[in-house]
Amino acid sequence: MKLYYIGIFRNSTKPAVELCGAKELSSFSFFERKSVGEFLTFFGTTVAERTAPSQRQSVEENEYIAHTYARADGIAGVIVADKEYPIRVAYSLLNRLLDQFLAQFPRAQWSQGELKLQFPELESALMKYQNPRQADSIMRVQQELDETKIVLHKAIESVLQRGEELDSLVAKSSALSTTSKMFYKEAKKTNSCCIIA
Amino acid sequence: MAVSIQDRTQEFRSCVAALSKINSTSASASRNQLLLSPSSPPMPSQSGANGVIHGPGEGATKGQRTEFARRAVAISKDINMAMGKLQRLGQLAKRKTLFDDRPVEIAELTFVIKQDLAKINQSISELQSFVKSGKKHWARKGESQVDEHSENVVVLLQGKLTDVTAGFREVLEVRTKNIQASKSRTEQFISSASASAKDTSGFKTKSPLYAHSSSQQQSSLENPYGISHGDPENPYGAQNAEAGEYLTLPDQQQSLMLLEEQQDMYISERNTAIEAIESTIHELGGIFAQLATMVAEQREVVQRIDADTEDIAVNISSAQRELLQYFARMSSNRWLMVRVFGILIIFFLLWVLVSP
Repeated sequence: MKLYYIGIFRNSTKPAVELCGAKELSSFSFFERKSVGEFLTFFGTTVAERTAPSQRQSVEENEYIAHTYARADGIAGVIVADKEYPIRVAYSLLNRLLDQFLAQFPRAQWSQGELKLQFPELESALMKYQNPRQADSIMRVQQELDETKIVLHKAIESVLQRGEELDSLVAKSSALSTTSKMFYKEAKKTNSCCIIA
Repeated sequence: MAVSIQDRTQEFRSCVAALSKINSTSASASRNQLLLSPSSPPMPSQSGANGVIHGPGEGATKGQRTEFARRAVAISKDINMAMGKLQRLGQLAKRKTLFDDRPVEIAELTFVIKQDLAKINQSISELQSFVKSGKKHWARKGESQVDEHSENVVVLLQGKLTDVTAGFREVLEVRTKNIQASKSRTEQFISSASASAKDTSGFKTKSPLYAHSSSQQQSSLENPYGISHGDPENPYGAQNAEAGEYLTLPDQQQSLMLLEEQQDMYISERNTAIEAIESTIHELGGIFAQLATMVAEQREVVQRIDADTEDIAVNISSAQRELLQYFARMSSNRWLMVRVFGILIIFFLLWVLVSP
């Protein structure tokens, strides 16, 4: 599961303008990278143009899927990933990134003109979310819960074993108790009975 | 001592009158009187030296208290306004009509109420810190009642805020229930028209109605479109809600439904993931309970073992005692001598008796 591209576009104008983007092309050979990068940007632009405001879409193309979320105020985020990447994680990442972007750059900065804004969050998010299990909080919680469940199963097994051992202990101790009682009686008998010369 | 007592009541009263004219508006003048009057009786009883120092201090504390009262009034006004908005929202949310639903207004109102609640919360906490900082100036016994009063007021405001928040939450729940109900009704209306079209199209699909009811039964995953996104990684999501993701249906209505389903898909998937987490936690709770019962059962067994070992110890120690006594008896000579002499005497008597 890989993420290839995250981009934020302004889609209130046609053609959509890429405000900032981050690519991860290490899986392609050196010569392919440029063309793949251009393709990703073009793909993102097209999909962002065609997404109506406050709508989410996932578009499939060869083996890439672009998840788009267009907000009502004119910006859209696009994530291009492979087919296995979980969709929910992609959308929640888009939500988060768009909120951060809006907090950092107020509307006035990007509503006009063609400009490239610096948003290093995109790069770091791209790196971090290559492994969605750890990065997405819901999945991480689910994973930790599963691990806890495994640990608990082992604990129950050990408790069962402990139960068996305790049962054998109880049998042994009761046998010992009977034996020692008989021992005591015998000792008493030799002591109290007829005095032998 | 008697020499230094001065009666500065008149000075103090004139100070107070001047300050109250400066600080208060007509609305809060009565409140100022109320707040000022408890502290004026204690004043004449103080010694002169104290009276001088506390004169200007009194003015400041009076100003602080009226400030407190003003803030408290503003907060309660905000709370009342928020309550009014909440009632309007509740009215809107209760409407169950299918077509006249006004989502924009409801969303706006929700947003506004949320902001208001946050603001009120913040102002209450500011008031609380203000009360705490104000308390440092009031080092006299006579002011403890005012302290208590201000604390009670803050607590009351917080209680009102929690009430409003609880009401807000209820209204949101009602709203989500209504949304779900209306959505199921729309699906019924739309799907009955498209069910026939779907059957004739020959795809391996499920009608949303069927998918809806089967999602209620929590059937195992079936992804009839053969796209295995996330299936091995997310074994808990009942992914029937995603059944409409990559449809390629020709009909206009169906593409509309496709769009709706895509939009709901994210939210419903999130929902299912969270439900999965909740059920896992539930299971974990059950496992812990089982663990606890098993350990409790085993505790009885352990107690039995304990009792048995104690019995063993007691038995063995008493048996050892008996053996020691026996040994002591055996190794003592006294009884031996008695027995020997006894036998000798018996023989002697016998010999005496037998031989005439």
